[in-house]
Amino acid sequence: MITISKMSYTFGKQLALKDVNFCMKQGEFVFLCGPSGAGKTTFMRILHGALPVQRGKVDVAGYDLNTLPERRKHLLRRDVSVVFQDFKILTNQTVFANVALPLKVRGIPRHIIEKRVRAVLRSLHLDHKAMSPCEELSGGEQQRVAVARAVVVKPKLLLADEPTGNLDYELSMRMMDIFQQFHKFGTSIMIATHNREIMERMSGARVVTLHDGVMHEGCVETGGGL
Amino acid sequence: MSVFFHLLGQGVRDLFRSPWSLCMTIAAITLVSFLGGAFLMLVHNLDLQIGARQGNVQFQVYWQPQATTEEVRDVWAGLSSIEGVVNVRTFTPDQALGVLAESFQNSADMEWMKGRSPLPPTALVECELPAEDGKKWAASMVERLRALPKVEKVSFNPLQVDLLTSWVGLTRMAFWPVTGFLLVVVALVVGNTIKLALLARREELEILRFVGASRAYIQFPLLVGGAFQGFLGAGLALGLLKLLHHGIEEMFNVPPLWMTISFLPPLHCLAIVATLAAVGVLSSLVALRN
Repeated sequence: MITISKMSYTFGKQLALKDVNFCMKQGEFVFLCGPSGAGKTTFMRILHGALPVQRGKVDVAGYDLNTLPERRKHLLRRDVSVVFQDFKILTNQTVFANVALPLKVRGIPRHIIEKRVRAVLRSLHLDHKAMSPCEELSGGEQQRVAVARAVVVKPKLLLADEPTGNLDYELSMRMMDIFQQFHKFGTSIMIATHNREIMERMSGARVVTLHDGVMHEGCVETGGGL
Repeated sequence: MSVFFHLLGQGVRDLFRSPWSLCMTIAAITLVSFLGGAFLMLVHNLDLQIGARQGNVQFQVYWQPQATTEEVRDVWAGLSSIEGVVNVRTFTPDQALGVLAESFQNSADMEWMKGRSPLPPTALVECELPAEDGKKWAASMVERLRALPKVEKVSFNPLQVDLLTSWVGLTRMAFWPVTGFLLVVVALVVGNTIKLALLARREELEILRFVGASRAYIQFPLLVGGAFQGFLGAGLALGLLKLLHHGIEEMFNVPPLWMTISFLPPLHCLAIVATLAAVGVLSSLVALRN
C-alpha cells in the first residue's frame, strides 16, 4: 500500500523528515506516533499529495508520487482519504452535504449517495443530525463528520491525523471502534496520534515512531508526547 | 452530463453567495460595456451616414458645346458600366438651362433661350470612393472621364475625397485601440472578482481538492461564473444602449441633417455578448492560473 525509501523533506533550512524508509502492506493498521513537531503531519501530507516529494521515492496506493502530476492527484485522493486534525469540514453546510461531498465530486448518482451517506451517519450515530449545519455541532460531532466523510468512499487507505485530539476518552474509544470496523472491511489505516490509550486498545496494530524527522519501528520513548 | 449541469448551476449559484461583490462587478462590466457599445454605435452610424450620404464622390463632366446630342447620348449610355459608378444623371443643354433657372429660384426668365441654350451637355457621375488611396483613384477617374469622346472638362471636389478618407481612416484607426482598452478593463474587473472569490473560498476549494475533486470540477464553476458575469454585464449594457437609442433616435432627424440614429445590428450585439462572456472566461482562467 505504501512504499517509501530514503524520503527527506525540508521547510527552508529546517529538516522535517530525514531519510525515512517505510513500508505498509494492504490491510495493515499502523499507528504513527511521536512528539509535536516530529514530522507526523508532514509525513501524512506527503502521502496525500498535499506536499511534494523533495527527495527519495514514494509510492502510495499504486501511485508513484515522484512522477504523479498535479492534475492527476485527485485520482490518488480518491483512493486515499484523510481525517484532518482541524476537521476541514464546511461549517456552513449540513452534516449530510459534508459527508456527501466526496461522493458528489466522483459523479455518483444521487440515490446511491443518499443511501451510503445515511448508512455511514447511522454507524457514527450522526443520523439524527444529518440536516443540522455543522457550525451547530460540538467538536466531537464535527470530528465524527470528518471521519464519516473520509470513510463514505470506502478508501483503500485512510490517513487520520490526531483523530481523537478533540474527543473525551469515551468518544475516542468509540472512534477507534469505528476505525476498527472499517479496517475489518479491508481498509488500510494509518493514525497519527499522541494518545497511548488508543494504541493500547488496538493491541494488534503496528506502531512506528517519528522523532526529529527520523522514523523508528515500534513505540519509542521520546520524553515528549508519548 | 448531470455533473456538467450541476457544475453549471453551481457556478452561477456561487456568485450569489456574495451579492454585493456580484453587483459591483456587474455594474463595472455594464458601464464599461455600455461605453464600448456606445462607441460601436457611433462608429456604426458614422459608417452608415458616410455610406448613405457622402460616401460617394461626384464628378461633373462637361462636353464640348459643338458636340451633337446623338454623339453625347452614345457616351452617356456607356457611363453606367464604368467600374465604381453607382449613379449617372445627364443634362441636355436645355435641361441644364432649366436647372440653372431653378437655382435662380425662377427669378430670371430663361424661357426665351430654350432650343438655343449656350450651356454644354453635362453628366453628373456618382462613384463609390474606395477605402484606400482615394486621391489617386479620383485622379485616375478624372483622366478616364476626360478621355471620353468630345469631353471638354471634368471637375470634382478634392476636399470631399479628403474629408471622406479622413472620417473612414479615423473611425477605423480608433476602433481597435478603444475596443481593446475596454476589453482589458472588463478582463481586469472579472479577473479580480474571481481572485477575490478564490481567496474567500480558499478553504472550501482546499477541502474539495482533498476529497478528490478534479481540477475541472473545481475550476469549471469559476469559469462559468466569469462567463456569466460577462454575459450579464453585456446584456444589461445592451439594454441601457437600447434605452439611450430610444432617446436619441430622432434627435438629429431635422433639417439640414435628416439623420436617424440606428441601433447596433443583431450580429454586433451578439458579438458584444459573446466577446464579453469569452473575456470573462479568459480572465477567470488567468486568475485561476495565478
